[in-house]
Amino acid sequence: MNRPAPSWPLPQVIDVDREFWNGIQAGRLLIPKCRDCGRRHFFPRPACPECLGANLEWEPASGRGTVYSFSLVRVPRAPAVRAHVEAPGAPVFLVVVRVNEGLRVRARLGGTRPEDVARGMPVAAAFEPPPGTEFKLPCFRPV
Amino acid sequence: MKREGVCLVGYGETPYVRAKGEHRSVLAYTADAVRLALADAGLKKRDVRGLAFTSLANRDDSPYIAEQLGFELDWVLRADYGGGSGIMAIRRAADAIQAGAIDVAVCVGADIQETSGPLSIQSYGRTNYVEPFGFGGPNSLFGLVQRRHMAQYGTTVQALGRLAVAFRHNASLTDHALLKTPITVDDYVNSRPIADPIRLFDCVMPCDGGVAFVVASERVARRLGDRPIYVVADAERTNHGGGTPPDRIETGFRGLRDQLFAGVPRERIDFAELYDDYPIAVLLQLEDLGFCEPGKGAAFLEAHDFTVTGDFPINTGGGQLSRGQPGLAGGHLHVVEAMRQLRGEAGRAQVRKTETALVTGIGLLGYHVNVMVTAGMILHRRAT
Repeated sequence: MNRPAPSWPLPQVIDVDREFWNGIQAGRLLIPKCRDCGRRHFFPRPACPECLGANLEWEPASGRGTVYSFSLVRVPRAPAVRAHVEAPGAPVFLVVVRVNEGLRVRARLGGTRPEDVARGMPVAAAFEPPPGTEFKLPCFRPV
Repeated sequence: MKREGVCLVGYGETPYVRAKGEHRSVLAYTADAVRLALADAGLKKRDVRGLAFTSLANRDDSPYIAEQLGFELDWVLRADYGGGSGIMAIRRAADAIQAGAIDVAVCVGADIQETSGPLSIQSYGRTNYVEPFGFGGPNSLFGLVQRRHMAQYGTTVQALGRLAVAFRHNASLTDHALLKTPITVDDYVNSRPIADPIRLFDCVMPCDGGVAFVVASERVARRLGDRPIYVVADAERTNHGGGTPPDRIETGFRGLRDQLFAGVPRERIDFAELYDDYPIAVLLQLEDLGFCEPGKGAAFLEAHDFTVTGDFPINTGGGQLSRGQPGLAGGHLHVVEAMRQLRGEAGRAQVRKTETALVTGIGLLGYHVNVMVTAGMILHRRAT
């Protein structure tokens, strides 16, 4: 059997979030902010989810924050991710980070062992391609 | 059935775009259309308690659309009735409003021409019992309908062409239609065959775009000002004939017309926005809604003038045939055209007397019956 390895699921970038993902590729965490009402939101939306405003801009975030919640994913849906977690020493954490700008950002968490992860742990954004790809995803790491 | 206490209070349309390569997303069109409709109505985002979403290209469940737009709702619907979705969504919203569940709902349709993985959106019937036999899309299915009508009643393409010509004339008077160059019946007859007898000028112009309108209780509508449009009657029929469909040239409009015209007689209709995926579909509606006898549609087409200055204006903005068909928002387009006329905002295409309008929707081609969903609605400038 010589089947190609399953590929890691990547975002299907659309106009609404292209800036965000371009930022991630460039190592910047960009957060959408509404010019009309001044409020930020995350994840990127087609309009401000507070006021429906169309005038969104992208504001660089510090990338610093604390772990709000996390989950150690043991049975991922995607075959490529499942193959990854079934290999030893490669935990996949799904994490929600409250960044210093006050928003909750969902991402991966890396550079840590399961027993070391704690809520409230300070983290910083990193930008790393998942195995077998060159497309970077936000991935927080402990600081 | 008669409808009371429900109004249309605002509409919004994005530009319709023939995109090559780069498309905007359905989400972006959706947000723009909703924003425009609310601004037109004079309502705030927080006033909206109901949302109906329609799209072919975007398959998201409707609660996710609420999340993406940031709406907190008491009523949400994915209106999945094809080109009938605009009117069907209004009917569902009107029921919720009359029941007191909500005061304000936005019905939005948005689509782009780029759809991924056609098999993922096709049904068993099409895959196994149409595709293997040389399916050419809706053109081929309506080719069957039109050929049957021509054979049975002697309907001519010259008569059908009068609809395409009139709609194009109406479109030429607007700013927004994609096709505005006037055509003649000869141009229509000589246009390229697509799925004989369906020819090029029988076919809509697919495009990208979003269309939305706001449905509100009369109480809210009165507070908003003096331009509410009243929904005074509406009716629907799905899978006309049930398990034993009638002849392919009879549609559900014959089944719903008594309900539709129970409260408002046919004779009071000043103009109509009829779902025009094809001229033959308009002819079938005129017959099945009782404007003429079955089989007499062609004579009716020869006897009337459907331009905005004619005796029976139809598709006053050009219909989908000349305006463009923004996917499943095509059904929403007809609702907006009726609102525009009833509010006197149609500019050079304004019909002189616009008190009462008929709007129809057709959704989903059946593989046994001809069209699955038929819906009609009568709008009035005042409560009746």
